[in-house]
Amino acid sequence: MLSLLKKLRAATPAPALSQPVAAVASKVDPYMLGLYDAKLSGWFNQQTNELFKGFAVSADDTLLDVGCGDGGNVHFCGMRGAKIIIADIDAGKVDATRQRLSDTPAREVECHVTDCNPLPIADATATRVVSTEVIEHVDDPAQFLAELVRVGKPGAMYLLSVPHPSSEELQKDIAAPEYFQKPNHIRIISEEQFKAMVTEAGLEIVSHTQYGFYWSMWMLLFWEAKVDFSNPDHPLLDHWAETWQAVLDSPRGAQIKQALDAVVAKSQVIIARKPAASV
Amino acid sequence: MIGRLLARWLPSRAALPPAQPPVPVSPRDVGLHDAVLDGWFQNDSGELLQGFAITADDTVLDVGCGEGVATLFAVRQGASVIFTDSEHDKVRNLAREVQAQSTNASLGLVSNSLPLPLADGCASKVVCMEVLEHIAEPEPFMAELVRMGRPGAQYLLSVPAPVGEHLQKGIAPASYYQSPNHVQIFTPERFAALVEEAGLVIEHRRASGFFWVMGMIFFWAGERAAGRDPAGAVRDRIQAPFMPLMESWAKTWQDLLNQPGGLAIKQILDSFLPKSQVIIARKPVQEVDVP
Repeated sequence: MLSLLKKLRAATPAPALSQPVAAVASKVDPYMLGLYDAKLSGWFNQQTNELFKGFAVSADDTLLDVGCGDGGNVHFCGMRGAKIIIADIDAGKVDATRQRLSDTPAREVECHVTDCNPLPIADATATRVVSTEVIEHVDDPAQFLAELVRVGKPGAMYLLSVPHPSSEELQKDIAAPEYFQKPNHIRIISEEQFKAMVTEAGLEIVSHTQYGFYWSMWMLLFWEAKVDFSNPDHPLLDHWAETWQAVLDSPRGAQIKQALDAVVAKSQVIIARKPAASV
Repeated sequence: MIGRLLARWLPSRAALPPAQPPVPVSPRDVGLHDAVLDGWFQNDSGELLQGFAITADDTVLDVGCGEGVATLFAVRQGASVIFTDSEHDKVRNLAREVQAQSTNASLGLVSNSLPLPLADGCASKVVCMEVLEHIAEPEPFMAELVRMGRPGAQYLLSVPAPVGEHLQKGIAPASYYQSPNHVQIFTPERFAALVEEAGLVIEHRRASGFFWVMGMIFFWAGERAAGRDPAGAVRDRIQAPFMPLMESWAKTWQDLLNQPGGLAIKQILDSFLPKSQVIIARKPVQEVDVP
């Protein structure tokens, strides 16, 4: 249940695939479709080497992913040849991600099992810092962000994401109770709060975007379908995936997705920069 | 993953009885089911919408009748009906249907200007759904509606909810936001003020119709895909054969409504993203003296 969105994105090896989901079998795979939808929102751009729009990764980078989950993000970055440092509280996740990285040209892989308080990493180590869908779980976001800022080099880029309040509010009375309890989402972070957290940690915000209407609806339907997360086979979910596939395939699909993502979003993403000279 | 899904899928397919053609899902039927869950078309109680019961004693005035769902519901309750629309075909077709179903007094009028040629206090129930947003000056129009209701008459008024209207911008054709289509977007506050300032007392308010927010967006997408730029009253033109996107969405929604917790999810989505806002109001029995 922990960090569902990340699981959803990471559940497939597909960052390495470049085929859009339209090419797959007649039954729409909800995860592949979600990945395709995420790509349309700016994730996993193979052409530009951007993990997310505005966040390019190259072989010169040292990329730290804190709360790496199943390793979907670092796999993409490993394929760019970067040095990868992963940190997660879950030893199993760290091990699985290490293995997942073994088929990438990452120039080095460093792994830490840690509660991140503090991170066992020296000051000014990373040129890229990624932490997706983590801040909503931690007890002290300010301390957590301070650690992320400490280990970034001056000028380092940050990719931070948390659930968008629109989707969290929709799920409030629908989700399993543990979804909003420790160790899951212990807080709902508004757009303003998210911006303030990042700014107060000493980072400069470059962009703040939101996406994931598809996943927001999918999650609502998922709670009701009461199927297993690893095999969400249910006509309700199938029909929604078919519908969304048809939306994206329609001539105005991108525009419709954009309009709906603006109203109900699964996730909000901030790209930020650590100032070149320390403040 | 695909292989595993297919493996699960195929045996269950093989176990099914042979060749049942899939039952097509009509977005209109699903929309009706959805509306009934919202309290519309309660045949048992004669309520057009919960809190708005129609009886054989009523004279119902339906302004902007369109295809006539409200008028025909009133006819089934034994009421006399007066219905008006700016489109001649709509009024003529509805008049035929009303006469086929009822021997009560009925009157159909084609009109798109004020005043309506109807006596003061001619109706005990006044229905005006999805009309006010088409009107450049809604205040005098509301005054006309109030004039034609008798003291104590009940009103059922609806307009699109603003969130759905804003969402369709850039997706619906530009003509959707121009005369004779939607020239007004009412906030809930402005809608309430319009009704109260016309002298009516609000009894109930509700907002619902997420199904149609999505349905309309998908409708535009399909029209665009087919190279059409539709004009005129839109909802009435959503007819079979339906576009695959609409059908697929209707299937999703039907599945949801059939789930045990489906209604709760529907209501959350309705409150978040409603298509339509409704006010049920009453004309006071005694005119309030203006000092």
